[in-house]
Amino acid sequence: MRWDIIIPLAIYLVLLIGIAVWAFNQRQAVQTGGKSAEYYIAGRGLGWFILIFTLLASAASAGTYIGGPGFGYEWGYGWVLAAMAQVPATLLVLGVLGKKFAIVARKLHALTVTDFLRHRYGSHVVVILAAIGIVASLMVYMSAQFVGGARILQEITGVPYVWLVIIFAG
Amino acid sequence: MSETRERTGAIEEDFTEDPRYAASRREMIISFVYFGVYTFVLIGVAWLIGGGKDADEIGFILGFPDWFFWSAYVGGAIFSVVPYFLVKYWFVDMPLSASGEDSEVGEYESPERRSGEPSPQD
Repeated sequence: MRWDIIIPLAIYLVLLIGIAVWAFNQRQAVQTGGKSAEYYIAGRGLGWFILIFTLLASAASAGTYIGGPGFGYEWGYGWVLAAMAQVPATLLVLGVLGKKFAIVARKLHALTVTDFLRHRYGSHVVVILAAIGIVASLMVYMSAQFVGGARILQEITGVPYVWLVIIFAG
Repeated sequence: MSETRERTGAIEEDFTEDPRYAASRREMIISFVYFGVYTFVLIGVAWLIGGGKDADEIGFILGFPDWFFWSAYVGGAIFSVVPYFLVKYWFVDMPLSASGEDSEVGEYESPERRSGEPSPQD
């Protein structure tokens, strides 16, 4: 148990929880009708700078830390070249979906993709299926994140693997 | 007969498509073209420089294989600068709010707006 690494991590976690509590108190001041937008997308007021960090955070996952280097070690630079294809994917996502989604979402007051589907098709079945699909795929994705993060932290800090998975999931 | 024709005509005339959608569509096509060109250049340059060579024949630049250096690093650097010019010259700056007006005046009445207008007491 390497305490010189665990303690800064714990302090960082406490800071994050503090920011969440502060944001919760800020949220009380938002007028009614805007609370969902304030929670999900920060009231549409974050701007381009935070968008960059959102994209970077999406790219930084267990795949980037464990899977990517593992593949690179086994297959060499050819795999790294193939992974470079996700560089223009960022502009593709923003360019294809950005403007049209932004305009239509402001008209519909839609916050998520499921809102879009509900407005487009008007059918409960579509919305329920979309929600089930999102939850199922996120379960799979998040379990990979738990395993990857717990393995990394186990190697770094020496805390037993099971504890780390429980902490991550919590 | 003429009644239904009038009704369908009225329905078609009532709906005018938001003119911002056409610009959005053009930007979508530009993004696709950018993605396609980037991928094509990345793979093409890598294959042209390093395709089918034995490990002894590959030259090294800064420690990296030359095909990787030219395709991923140099190509990536050039294509990271290209979007700046794409957006500057080809993309249209437009307000995103629902009504098409300036997005500062939106759902949340911000205090800055109130201070600029004459208040009802004046």
